[in-house]
Amino acid sequence: MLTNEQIRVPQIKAAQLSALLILSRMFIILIFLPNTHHSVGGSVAILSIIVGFFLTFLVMIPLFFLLRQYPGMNLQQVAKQLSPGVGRFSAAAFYLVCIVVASETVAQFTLFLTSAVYPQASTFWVGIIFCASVLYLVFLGLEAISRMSVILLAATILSSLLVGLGLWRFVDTLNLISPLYEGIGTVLYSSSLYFTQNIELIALALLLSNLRTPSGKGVFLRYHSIVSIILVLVSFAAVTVLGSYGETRNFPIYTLFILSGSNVYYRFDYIVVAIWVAVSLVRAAVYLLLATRMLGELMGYRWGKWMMAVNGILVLLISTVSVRYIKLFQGIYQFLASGIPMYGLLVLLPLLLLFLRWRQDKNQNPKQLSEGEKA
Amino acid sequence: MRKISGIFLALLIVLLPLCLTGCMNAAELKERTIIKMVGVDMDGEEYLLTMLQFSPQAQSGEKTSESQSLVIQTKGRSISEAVDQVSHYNGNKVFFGNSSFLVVGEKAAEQGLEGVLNFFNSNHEVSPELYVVMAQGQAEEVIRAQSGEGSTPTQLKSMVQQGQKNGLLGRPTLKDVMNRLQSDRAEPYLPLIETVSSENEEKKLKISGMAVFRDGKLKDTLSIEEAKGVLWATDELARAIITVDFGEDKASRASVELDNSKTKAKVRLERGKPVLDLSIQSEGSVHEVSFDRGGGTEIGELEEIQNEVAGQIKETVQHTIDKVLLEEKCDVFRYSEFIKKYEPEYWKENQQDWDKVIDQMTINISVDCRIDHPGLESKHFQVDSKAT
Repeated sequence: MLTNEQIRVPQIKAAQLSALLILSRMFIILIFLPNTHHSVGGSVAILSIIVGFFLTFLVMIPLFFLLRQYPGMNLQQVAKQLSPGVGRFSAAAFYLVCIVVASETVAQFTLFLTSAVYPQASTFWVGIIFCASVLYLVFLGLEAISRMSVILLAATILSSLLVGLGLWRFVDTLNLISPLYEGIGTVLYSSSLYFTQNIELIALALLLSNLRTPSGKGVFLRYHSIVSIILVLVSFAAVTVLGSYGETRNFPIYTLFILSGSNVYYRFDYIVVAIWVAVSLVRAAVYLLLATRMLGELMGYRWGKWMMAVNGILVLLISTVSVRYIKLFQGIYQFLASGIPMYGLLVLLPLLLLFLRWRQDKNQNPKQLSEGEKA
Repeated sequence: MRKISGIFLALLIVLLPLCLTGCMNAAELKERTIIKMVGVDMDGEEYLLTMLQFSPQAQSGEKTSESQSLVIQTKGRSISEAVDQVSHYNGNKVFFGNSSFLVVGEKAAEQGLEGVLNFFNSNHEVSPELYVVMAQGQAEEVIRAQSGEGSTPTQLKSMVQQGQKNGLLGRPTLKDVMNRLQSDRAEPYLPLIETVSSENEEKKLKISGMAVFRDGKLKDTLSIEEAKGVLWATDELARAIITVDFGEDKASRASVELDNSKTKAKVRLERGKPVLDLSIQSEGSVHEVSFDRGGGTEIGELEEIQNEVAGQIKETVQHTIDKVLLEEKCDVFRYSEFIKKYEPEYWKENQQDWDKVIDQMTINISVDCRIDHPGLESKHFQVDSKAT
């Protein structure tokens, strides 16, 4: 039995893909956990985002240089074309990362919902209901998820603006200190984290083949700029509104939403939680969909829709166990934030593929190359 | 295969509607003990919690929403333990989502605010906007005064709101107090509330000043006038009435309402020592003028009144800073954060010797007062004075 994905390659617009990635990234912003993200807080974070913005451009040069030569293909397809072995290896690596990100999303969702919103709710049942909904979204396919993302992004931006207005009365600029207070080393460390935690760039590298027109660079520019602006604004709000109080909160950004409640809404967090549930569904669905694709690459699409269900069960298992054993949860975080997935798949893999391409070109045209070298 | 996918679809149909069931573990109103105010005292080594419970009396279909407040008192080695004992009364779940006040007793404040506030800071139902005040004596007295006949839990709220408007109170919410407790050297302050007996022996609440803390523990209490000095120095004063004597031999008296005050603090280093320049700008209007033979004022007299008001503000702020910062070494003004922000290198080197930094600090206060409304009353004399 074939999935919708296998009947035909879904085609989405560049704006839809940008919206999908921005939304997926906003999941982390909303339930930011300072203890597990190894992040630095305060004013340092604001400068780090700006430095990290430019650092990401530098690091992504090999990837976009490679993809420019293969318009309409994603990174895994390029790897498969240049070397079937590297193609299989990259599919396995992408599969692992996507499964881990999907599991982390489900675990985060469950953890947040059962600690900040419904402390008495069962983590197991929350996980099951969530995973069932995610599976349904994956079943609908990428086009449906992308269309939903555009609507959700508009709702998220609108509610964020309302939140911002509600927070204005709490802004205290005394909380802003020099971003270099802890030295340049802290800023550079935090900037490198900005890249390593930008896991949506992996989804971007895998979804480029679904674009109607090959405009990967445009999607990257749009996604990266908008997310950086949002992050700077959110960090500014967190620093100036919460100050040192933010250090005592497990979900500081969620606290901002609670504070922003005006007399009209009383506690604005209810609306935000509603939007965030939808955002988490989209994020988990995207990575589960990508994991299913990568498993298909490895297994030859033999199991049809069953691959989707198997991955869903795997995600449920990992997330349920990691919510119960917080050390596993931290381990998942540490793996994702360590830089291994990002540097390995978005820097080393493109460099390796560029080398393979150069070697293939050299083998095909040894004479031309040697003449060129002499000249 | 078709059969299996049918089962899968059936499972989805069964599971997905579960998402539409709304709140999980929902509790009915009657299953909740809704707490409006909490008072925390110390009884030996144990926390003594006095809670004002909201108890709706209106039945279904009734138009009135008359409510009765009940007082619950429990004890425990921790606040969680004391809260847990509330369920021994009626088996209900305690709900803090509607709590708007936390009253800390004097002994509990002496032991340290952090121990008291940790429970409320980590409780998901409690708003960061929970207002924290200190009782002069036992917090229990304040809570019981609120539960008395004719009292409603909103009275304290109205009192505090008016107090804020009149420049008697700052804004020490849970968020603000925790922020200061987490800071390097800044200290929290809390409005001070006391109970007084009226003529008919009824207990009433009264704002009596401000409590200042050092290392999170109660250090001293300030009068209302000194509390105004703190709020002026921290740019938190919304409104104030000042009465000054002016004219020849200071025989005339003017009351001025200041409704627009702005305080700016700047820190600089002078010969390696911190200098704090505090600039206060106030605007207001004359409310009342009286002198021995009449009342009212003339435009020409405004400058003299302005100077007197500015002088009094400066004196109040100077006295408060001398007492709280220089003598008690309590940085309720957050000046340590100004030093950290504007002179970070100096702060890194000297933050461990904060007491020494305070001793070396020079504080310059400048007050600029502008009174451009002489009020509705023009200068006039009493009839018998005119005749002579």
